[in-house]
Amino acid sequence: MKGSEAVLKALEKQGVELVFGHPGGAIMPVYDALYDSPIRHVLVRHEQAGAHMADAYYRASGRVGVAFATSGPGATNLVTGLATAHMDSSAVVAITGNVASPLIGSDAFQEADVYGITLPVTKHNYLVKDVNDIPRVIAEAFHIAASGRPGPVLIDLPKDVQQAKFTGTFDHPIVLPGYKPTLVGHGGQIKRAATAIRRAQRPLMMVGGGGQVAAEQVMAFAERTRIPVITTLMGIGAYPAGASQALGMPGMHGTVTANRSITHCDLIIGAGLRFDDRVTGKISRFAPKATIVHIDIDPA
Amino acid sequence: MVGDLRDVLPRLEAEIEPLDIAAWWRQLNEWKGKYPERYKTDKPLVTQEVIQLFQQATGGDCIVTTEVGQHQMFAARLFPTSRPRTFITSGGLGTMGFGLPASIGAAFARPDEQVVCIAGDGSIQMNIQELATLYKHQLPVIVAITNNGMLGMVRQWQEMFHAQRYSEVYLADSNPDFAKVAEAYGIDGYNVFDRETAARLVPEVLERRKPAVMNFVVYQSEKVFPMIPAGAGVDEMIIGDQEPEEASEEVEA
Repeated sequence: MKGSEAVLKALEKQGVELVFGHPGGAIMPVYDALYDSPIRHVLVRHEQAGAHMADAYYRASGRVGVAFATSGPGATNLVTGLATAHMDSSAVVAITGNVASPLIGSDAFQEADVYGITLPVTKHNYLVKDVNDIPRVIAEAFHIAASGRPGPVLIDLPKDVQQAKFTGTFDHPIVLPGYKPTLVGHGGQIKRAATAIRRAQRPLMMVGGGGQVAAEQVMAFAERTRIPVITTLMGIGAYPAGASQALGMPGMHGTVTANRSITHCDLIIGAGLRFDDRVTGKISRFAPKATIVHIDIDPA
Repeated sequence: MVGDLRDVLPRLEAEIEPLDIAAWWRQLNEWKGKYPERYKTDKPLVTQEVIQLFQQATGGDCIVTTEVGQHQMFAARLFPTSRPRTFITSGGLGTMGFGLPASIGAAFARPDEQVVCIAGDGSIQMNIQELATLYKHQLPVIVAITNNGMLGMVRQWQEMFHAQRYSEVYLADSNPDFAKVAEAYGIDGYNVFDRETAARLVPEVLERRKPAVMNFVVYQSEKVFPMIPAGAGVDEMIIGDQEPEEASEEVEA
């Protein structure tokens, strides 16, 4: 088995059914392996579009979206798509070919420092130097992309690594001692939050993109408490738009009711949103009378 | 509180009784009653009504993707969906060119759903080559271009904050005939100029469950309201045309 075949096998083990991509010289070994793989491929006409397709594939289904591109211009064409996914916390795994390892850094044909260029717009990225690392890297990439606060992960594969003989194994356990998202809320904090909510006379719930996975829980909470619910642009659909408790979208182009409710409320439960500037406007004038209970998977 | 909403919300809910907030709801309902979505229809066709036609014809039971700009804001306000993972838009980065490929990605993810892409004439040209991908896979995506011949959101800011100095926002004199572009890619294309045709065609085209591009030529100088100007607070929002008027050709959405 070659490295390129190991890539496809590792993707199959992740349950990938479909990838969006555009071939080129530096990723041809992977495309040759794809030819025999049950994984389907959608040929795009610009790699940026491939990244957006993988992004929306995730948003619509909850399954990690996968995009392929070649080295140099193919990979740099992904950047806008990766930045888009990064800003909106979308789980995308992008796999790019790169020039052979001995050529890296020599301004080779269709070469670019993809690792360096994509560092600020991905949740994590990899440059694979050892063919036997492929299964571990792919498993980690999917895990990092989809867990905690989701985000795009890029894997850069030099051509000689794709062509090298694979002598490793699959089924690696995920060992990432530095990456442990907090999923379980702190009991004491929950109690303190509940006390604040019980005292509120003009409470509000604001649901953002993080609510898309928790629509059931949001609905149950809103039903029980009878609290008014605002959905941000990213939260649309996480709470039904036509519900009697729905106030609409807040922020720069939000509804009068949603924005006035923010100005006059005494408590906000922020569920899965990041209080972005389009939502808050001038921070010193945002919800001046309110205690804010902010629930999010990302402590940042 | 750091945690997964699926863990934290039920535990929080368990600690809380239904809230006694009738007075607050009276205030909120008063505002809701005074400020429903409204817009004028004193032009042959406006962006808001095009979007509403799709909302009415689908009942919101579809996937919506958007490009970026005024149409994106109108879609969020007039065509919000009610199921999770069905309103797909570039919120954080605000990427023009996202909507058409996103509609394709979403269609592959959810093959049983109708997908509607609300686009502007500026945004749609940024990844227009993906009409080839749409054609190849015959996905049930309608690309609804609300074509005001402008980079509308920038034009609005120039009108409101830059003394109407409309620098580099004019597209109308060099936009292609979008229906012809669609047909060149093998996709059904429609140019629509008036509300009667729009009202007739939207349900018809949706019914066909085929890829289609519909180019709706709409009022050029539309503005999105309310608006909180950059640097202003939520309490300083400009209500604009969302303020009720006594007599006008107004539609309450």
